[in-house]
Amino acid sequence: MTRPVVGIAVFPGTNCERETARAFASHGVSVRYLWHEEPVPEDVDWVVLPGGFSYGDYLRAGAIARFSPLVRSLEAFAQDPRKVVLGICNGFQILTEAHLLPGALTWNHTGVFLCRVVEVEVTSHHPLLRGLAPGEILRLPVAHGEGRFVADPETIRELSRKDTVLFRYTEDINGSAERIAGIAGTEGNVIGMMPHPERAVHPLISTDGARLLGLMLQNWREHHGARGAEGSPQVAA
Amino acid sequence: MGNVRRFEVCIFLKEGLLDPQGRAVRIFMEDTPENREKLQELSGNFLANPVIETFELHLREGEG
Repeated sequence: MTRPVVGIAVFPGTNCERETARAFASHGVSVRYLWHEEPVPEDVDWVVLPGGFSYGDYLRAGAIARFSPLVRSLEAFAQDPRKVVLGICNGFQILTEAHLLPGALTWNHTGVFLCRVVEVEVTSHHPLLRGLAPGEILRLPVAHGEGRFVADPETIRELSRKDTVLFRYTEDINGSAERIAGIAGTEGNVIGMMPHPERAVHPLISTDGARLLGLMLQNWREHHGARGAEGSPQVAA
Repeated sequence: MGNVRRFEVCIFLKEGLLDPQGRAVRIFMEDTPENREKLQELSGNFLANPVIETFELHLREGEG
């Protein structure tokens, strides 16, 4: 059996692709970098939009990246329920700008960039989070200026009603509506989160990110009867 | 291109969101009905994020 293929998007300004690739590769998947000028290849199972910046983010974070061939191809990619799109930080911002996720991310209510380890609470029974009980606390780093999740009240209610608020901050760090830190789309296979799980893979900070990504991949494999993880982890440069 | 004028798109966060000042994007373009329609579309779907922002379009008279 072949390994699941995780594609890591690279835009001009992306700066988290290497640690994201390493974090995924440690769970026995094949990792490949995806250049922003090309649509998603057919054999990719997961697309991860990592943190950093994209095209300068001068207008709004993610506002330009939504027009890239890679992001344009994600709408069709996500139509396949076996595929997963995960946006982390700038990736989450891109997914909302592309309207693949509801709401928007705007400037922190403090007006300053926030870089620290925070606690987030698991708040969903999402199938990819099986193994994490709602109410469980994860320690994950955040690093964002535009991390305040906002949406109209009806959208916020719908997210809660559909059990698609995956994570909430345990304290109000940036003014996000209802302390929302991560959400999933209606179909469940498009996910965005502001915290960086790929930076929480060592006991010096936290290993909760490694555990989270490992469980998500394991649940995905079980859910889709998917391809095994035998062999050594690999990253295609 | 004899009728190039300066337009200003002023963008504000919707009520309830912090942004007392907003921001402005200046656009120089030929003043034709087609271009004004394009600028309206550009402002509403790109320069401003319709999920959280509104905009006002101003023609800066006398400034070409």
